[in-house]
Amino acid sequence: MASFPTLQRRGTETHNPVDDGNNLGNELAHDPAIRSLSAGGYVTSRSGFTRLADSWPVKYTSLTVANKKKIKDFERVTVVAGSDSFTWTSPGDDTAYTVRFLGKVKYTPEPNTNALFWTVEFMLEEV
Amino acid sequence: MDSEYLKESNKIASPYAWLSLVEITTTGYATPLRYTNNNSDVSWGGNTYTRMPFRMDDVNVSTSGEFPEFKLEIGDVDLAGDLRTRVAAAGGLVGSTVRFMIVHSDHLTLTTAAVDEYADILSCELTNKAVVFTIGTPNLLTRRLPRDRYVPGYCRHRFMGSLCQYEQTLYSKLSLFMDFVEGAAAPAPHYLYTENFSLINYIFQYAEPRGYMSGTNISTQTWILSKDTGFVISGSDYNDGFFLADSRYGVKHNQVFVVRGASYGRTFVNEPNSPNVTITLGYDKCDHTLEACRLRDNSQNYGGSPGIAGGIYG
Repeated sequence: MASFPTLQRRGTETHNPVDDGNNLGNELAHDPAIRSLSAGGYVTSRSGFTRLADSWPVKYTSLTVANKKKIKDFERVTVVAGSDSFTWTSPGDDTAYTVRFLGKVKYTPEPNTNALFWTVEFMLEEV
Repeated sequence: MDSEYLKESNKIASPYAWLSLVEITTTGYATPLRYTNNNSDVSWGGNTYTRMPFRMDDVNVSTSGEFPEFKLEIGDVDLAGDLRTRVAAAGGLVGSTVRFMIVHSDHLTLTTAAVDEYADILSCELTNKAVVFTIGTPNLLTRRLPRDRYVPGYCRHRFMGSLCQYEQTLYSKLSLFMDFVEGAAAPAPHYLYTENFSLINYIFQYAEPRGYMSGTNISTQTWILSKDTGFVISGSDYNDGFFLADSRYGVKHNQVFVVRGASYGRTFVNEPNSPNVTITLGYDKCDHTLEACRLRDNSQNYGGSPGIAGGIYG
């Protein structure tokens, strides 16, 4: 299984996603609840399954062109967008998860950098 | 039903899940296939049920005497997986027993399931996304009776099957310098010619029904066939296939005439390379007629029904 590429800022220093208090956290990928309305307006609810999958919003800023290309090649060639799963280590808890891209990866050039630095945002969901 | 299940079913909200389990037991396989439609494996009753997406039709109960049938669709795309491998090896698992259970994720230590039903697999359908079983109760009234179709002039037995009992003889010979010679004009037969090879001694004296030797001088003696005798040639460049030795002509030690009829007439192709040819005595196919059975000395196993009206005997 492929692994998400390691991105380096300078030398061997790892370029981590930005931690703005939001994107290193995680949320449920799917709500497992099954709800049904019964007489009297009561709603009964149960879980539909037992394993809860996580999802993560990830945002990298000030990525060099080389690092942005690494992500782009990985997205388009290695895993073909959301098709294949890969191993990704969450900077939040330093745990490896098997994930896939959820939705499109967004590449935005940073202003006033002449497209030398990029912001890359994407969502990951646990497989 | 266990009281714990009743309590769970009466709760207005619960963080736990009702889990479906399926167990498919097939004769000849020690371990049943066990699946759950949960998104992680489930241990219940000492067994592990592997996560696999499956769904089942709603089960309808009818009072009109119909046998219930419903679909069990297991979403499996792994061609080399246990399910597809077993489906391919065991005739679509038709006749296997399906046990369908519902258990509760907070009460996996209970020994009885909330729902525990059995059914038989009636048919199987494969798609690129799923294996779809039709399950229910076998209906004996839909079985064909009598089992076979009785036709006056056509043998119902599979050629060389257990009821036909014909066995292609194992007598064969690898020869050299086989020539395929076309007869001058119809009905003159074609013939096979070989040097340094005794067709009589190695092949045609074993033909059934047995023939007899004519003559005493080895260079001129002939094996007289009782009936037209089939044989198969293999290993040639252009003339592989089935031939029928013509019983009107004797087999000489280096020459055999073959039937030039509509059914077996062959136009030989000259083979300049003189290939190593193997001749195997006997028939490798059958047209399921009584005449074919007689040629094979197998009339006692003929599977036609001459006593039935119609056809050439009617």
